[in-house]
Amino acid sequence: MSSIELNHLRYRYATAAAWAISDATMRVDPGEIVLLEGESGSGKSTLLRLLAGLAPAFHGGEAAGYGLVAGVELRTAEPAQLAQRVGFLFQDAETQGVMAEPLRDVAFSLQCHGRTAAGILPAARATLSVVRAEHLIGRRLDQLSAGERQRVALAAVLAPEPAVLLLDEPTAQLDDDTACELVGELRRLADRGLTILIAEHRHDRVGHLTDRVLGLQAGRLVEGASASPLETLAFSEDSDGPALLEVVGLTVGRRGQPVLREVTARLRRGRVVALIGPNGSGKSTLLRTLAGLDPAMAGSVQVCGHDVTRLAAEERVPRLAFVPQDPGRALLCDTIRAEVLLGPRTLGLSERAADAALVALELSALAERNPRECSVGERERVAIAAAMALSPTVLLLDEPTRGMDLRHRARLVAMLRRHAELGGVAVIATHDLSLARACADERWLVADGHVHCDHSAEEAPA
Amino acid sequence: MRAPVPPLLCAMGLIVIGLATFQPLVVAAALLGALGLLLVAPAPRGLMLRLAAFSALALVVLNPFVAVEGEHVLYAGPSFWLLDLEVTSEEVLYGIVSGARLATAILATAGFLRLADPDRTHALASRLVPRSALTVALAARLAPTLQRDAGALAETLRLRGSGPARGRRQLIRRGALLIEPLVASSLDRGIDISEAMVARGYGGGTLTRLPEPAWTGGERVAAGAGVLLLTVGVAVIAGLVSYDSYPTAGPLLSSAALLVASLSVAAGAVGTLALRSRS
Repeated sequence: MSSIELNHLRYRYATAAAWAISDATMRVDPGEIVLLEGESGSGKSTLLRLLAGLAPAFHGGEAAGYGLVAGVELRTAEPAQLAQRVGFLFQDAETQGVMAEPLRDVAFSLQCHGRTAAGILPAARATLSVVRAEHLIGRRLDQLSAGERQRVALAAVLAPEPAVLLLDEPTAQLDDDTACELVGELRRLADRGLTILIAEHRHDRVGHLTDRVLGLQAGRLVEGASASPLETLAFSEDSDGPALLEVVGLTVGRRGQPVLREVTARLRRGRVVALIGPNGSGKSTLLRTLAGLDPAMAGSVQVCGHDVTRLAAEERVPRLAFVPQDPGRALLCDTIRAEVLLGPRTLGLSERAADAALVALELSALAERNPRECSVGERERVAIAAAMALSPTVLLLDEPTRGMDLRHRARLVAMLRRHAELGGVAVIATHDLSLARACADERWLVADGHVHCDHSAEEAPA
Repeated sequence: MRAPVPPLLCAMGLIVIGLATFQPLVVAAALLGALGLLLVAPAPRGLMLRLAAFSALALVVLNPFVAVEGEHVLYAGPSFWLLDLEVTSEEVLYGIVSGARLATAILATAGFLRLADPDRTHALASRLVPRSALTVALAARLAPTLQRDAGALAETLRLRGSGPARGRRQLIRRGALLIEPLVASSLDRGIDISEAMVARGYGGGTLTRLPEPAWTGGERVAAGAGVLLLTVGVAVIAGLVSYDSYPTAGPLLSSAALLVASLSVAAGAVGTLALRSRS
């Protein structure tokens, strides 16, 4: 008997006339790992929600056709009943947590599955160690980095040992080591009979361990893989000109505790830097301090020769623009065009750069849509376009490829190289080493409380 | 973070004492205890302190102009519809005591919320009021999530070049710009959290009770102090301190009032100090 069996399954949102999932027919056998690929907004997350029984229950709309998941028929099952057999990892780990502390949060899944009280905490602890998150026990969930939260969310899904696992971008925020171990663990679980359906843009991370690849194109399932590696664009030589971004002896921290000490680095025009390092190493904290959102604990920051150490974030704009992690949660306007034009209009800048950014990131056709109705990858592009609309000299991006499909990652690479060719500099915090390889002239390794800036793109450790 | 029951007992005891009588000395003692409870709780506390002070002050200022009671006139003015511009000393005193009672309730509740472990509070609610457990979990998760969303929205505005608001008009415009996305995101977050809980299996079967860690010595002492405060509160309601329709300074130093106030201060101090030891 198949673990997942779909026959002409369809679903559309209440506000849309078109089917978001149309005529989905497929079978997935026990122990199989199936990778679901498709462009941002193609319906991957919607299909997973449909299989978990969360749509239409929580999102309204209309479903039709036949679907059987872990022996439960979708048409008649309540989502909570389905959840007893099906584990679902949300794309946004932030929304997955229910409790305030990681061990309690993982234990909550086991409590909901009626496990005996004595076994709950040991099982929760063991699952946290599988995803290398045991050290997070005792900390507050809302104070963890995005990658750390994703590990806890994964543990919470794995702990009850479901029959079917639906994972929406499980490695998007993980560093390479953790992602590699997670994928290996998923393979081991599948070999023991667990059925896994993964929606993931990072084919390079999960592709080699999956049994089958299914594509989604505008809500229709198609067989076969579509992924190809990102093309590496020409790097620039380090110029002799003045530094556009220079930090000297910079110490940055969170809640008064230093995270990175004595960071000294300089970037001349035309350079793109990838900031790499494990989850929680301080990449986001460094970018937030450079952007002026967090104060520097010591040292100085210069942008285009001006000391901006004591300037607030709004005073560093538009010379410097920053796209924080998960920008899709903080969109201000009702249309994508208004969102992208907000900065130039506030500052009285030309709107030409905004139009160019909309074109470069393929957002022109979506310009009148509400950004809150977009997929995670589309919202990420909106936020990047809004930053580019300011025509910044220094561009700071924190995990910009989350939820972004390969084609749009290639568009981002092209846009970053164009920004560098025009004399700008960019610093990108990322776990996506393929992105780093494709566009970065240098890689700065963030680890053990320090930033090691002396790696060229060719020499840096993978 | 603490087991929820000891700070809950302390907070409830202080609120009951504060609301049980208009006796100024007793109300002041309850207010002092509630302030202590919040001050031993982990930061941030500033917002709740400001809220309590503002609410109390508003009541103190407004009461003489909406209440009509007392005979000792301090200022005689005309009366319009709901507004009475005659101010008596009783109205002023009533306003002060009412403000103190309101502040006591706000500070004690805030102290409990800051001291109690939200996960253990959720577990307690699941046991005591299973039908409201979802509401408790939603409220516990939604408040910090919305706080972060509001912070992120304000940061986005700054990153788009919008500087600090200068003047009232600019402040109102800035606030208006943030209200709509915040309301929209709060609706989204509410659905997200309930969806996440259901996806984790909540509501699909029996919820197992997680073994709770034993109370520490400090928590046991605080629970004892809380029970004492509740007992004192019940005694006040039962008539240990005479009831007045509005406060008067007359029996301010009566032996019963002194006894109740002293007990309240002592139990409140013991409870808060016991809770502070591990905060």
